[in-house]
This record gives sequence, structure tokens and C-alpha cells, in this order.
Amino acid sequence: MKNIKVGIDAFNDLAQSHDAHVKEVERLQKELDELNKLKLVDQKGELLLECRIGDKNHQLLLEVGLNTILEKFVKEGNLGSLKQLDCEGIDISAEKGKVNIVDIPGFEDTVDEVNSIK
Amino acid sequence: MKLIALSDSHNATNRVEISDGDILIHAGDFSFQGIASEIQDFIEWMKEQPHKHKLWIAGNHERGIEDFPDNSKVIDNRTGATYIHDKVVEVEGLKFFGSNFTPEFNNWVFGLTDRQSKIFWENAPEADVVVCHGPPHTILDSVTPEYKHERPLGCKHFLSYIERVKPKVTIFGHIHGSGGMHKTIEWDDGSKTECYNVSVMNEQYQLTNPSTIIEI
Repeated sequence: MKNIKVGIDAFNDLAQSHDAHVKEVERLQKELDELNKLKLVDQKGELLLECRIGDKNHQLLLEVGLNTILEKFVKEGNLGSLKQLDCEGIDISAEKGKVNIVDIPGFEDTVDEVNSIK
Repeated sequence: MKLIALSDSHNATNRVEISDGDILIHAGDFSFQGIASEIQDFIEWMKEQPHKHKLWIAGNHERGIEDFPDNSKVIDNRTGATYIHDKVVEVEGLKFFGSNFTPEFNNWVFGLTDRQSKIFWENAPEADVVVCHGPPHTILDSVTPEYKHERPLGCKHFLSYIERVKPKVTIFGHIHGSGGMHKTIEWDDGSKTECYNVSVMNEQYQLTNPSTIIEI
């Protein structure tokens, strides 16, 4: 037959279980707090700034980071690589299926008119 | 005749499942900006495609085509494809008209104001197949299919053009949320226009659809 505790014994078991549960929750909370902490240190490991994910200092750090990335992007000329491709050495031997361009009287004027409004 | 159409492949064009067919059509947004390396990748991909005929237009992402229009000629010459923006071309007895345009939005390229769009579409030529980057108003132009017509993003003047010309097929993309979908418009005279949103990506820019096969 199963040994069932009653009275003060049962109460002590429940209290122990509750204590263990509370301790585990506290441990996890501490772990989470640590994970949410960000530390900015210098090259020697000296702490420069400590913040938490999502707070004002973290937002400022993100802005600095984004600005740096954008500055690097512009300086390296990535935006500048919008350019006319070199036409030399074009392989015009690519076999082209027969496509006839159809003349559309007056449509060129429409395109000019549309472009002139810009 | 079998048309194979896709759009909005955004630098993942070489990962799209492309079917065999007679005419391959890319309806714009093969890149994110149209910078030189992206155009080069598109050239490499297009050159490898075995279809007898290859047609393409640009989309609102192709700044490198709007700012440097001759890049379209470079693509054509190196791949054997034909850029059909603002052109009617006849292929295998079918007339195709192409347009890069979408309604003006933020700082994207090939965008038209309402006034420009009205002039353009009122004078646009007739064709059997119309390839435009942006959809017509209320036709497969919702960000998510669940919204249906509650948030139409397409061009009203393009819709008027379709009502006037009644092309056999219209092919477009731009609104990823309706990609891979098809709708038939039945006209009073008994004719039909088959509409296809051929975007291969979803709203999260993930490849979700293969190329669309259109029998005509």
C-alpha cells in the first residue's frame, strides 16, 4: 500500500518543495538578468558602460553602430556601384530568338510627355 | 504556346524553379538596387536560360536601369533577351507590351504619379500579352491574400487600360503577397483576360513560388 504522509510531515514536504521552486525561479531570474546585461569594455577590459537590452544606453549604442555601418557603406562606394556597365567585350553572338519590334505611331510622344512631367 | 513567367526574384533568380517553355518572361525586380554586380548576376542567369525567346522588364528596385538606361542594352546584347519596357514586340505571332511602371511610392524608381499614369495608360498600345511590373487596381494586388480587395495597391489607370484593350494575358508582380495567384476576368463580349501575379517571393522576401506556366 502506498505510504501517504499526513499532518506535519506532509506540510514539511510541501514547504521544502515550495522553497526549491522559489530558489530555482530566483536563479533563472538572475541568469536572465545577466543575459540582458550588455557591457562595453575598452581594449584593456576596463568597463566603459553597462546597460540592459532595450534601455536608453542600448538604443544609443545601436544608433552608433548603425551610423558606423552606414558610413562604412557609403565610404566604400557600395552606393557608387550604380553605374553604366562596361560595353566592351560584349558577346553579341548570343543566339536571339526572332523578336520584331513593332512601330507604335505617337507612343513615343506619350512617353516624352510622361517623362516631362517628372 | 507556353509562357514561363516570374518576377521579384531579388538576387535569388538562380534558385527559382524555372520550367521549360517557349518564351521566358521576367517581369522586374531581379535585384535590390540594380547595382553593377546584381546586373552581372542577372546577365549570367539569363544567358543560361534555354528558352527560345526571352523578354524582360525592370521593376521599382532597378535603379541601375533607370539611372543608366543603356544597361538594358548591355543585358540584351549579352543574353539574347529583349527589354520590352515602352515597346511592343511580336513573337511567334503574339504581340507583347511591356512597362516597368508602378504607382509612385517613396523613393523607388519607375514610379508614376497619378497624372503621369493616366496619360501613359490612356495612350498605351494594344497587345495580346501585357507585362507590367505593378498589378492593375484590385487584381491580385493585395499585400496578403486575406485582405482581398480591402487594401488594393494596384494602378487604377492600368485597370482602365485592361478594360479598354482586353488583352489575352496580363503578367505582373510587385505585390509579393499575391504571388503565384491567377484570376480570370470575363468580359461582356465573351472574351477573357487571364491575369497572373508571378512574384516568386513572399512578403518576407523568401522564395515561395516557382515560375508560372501560362498556356496561350
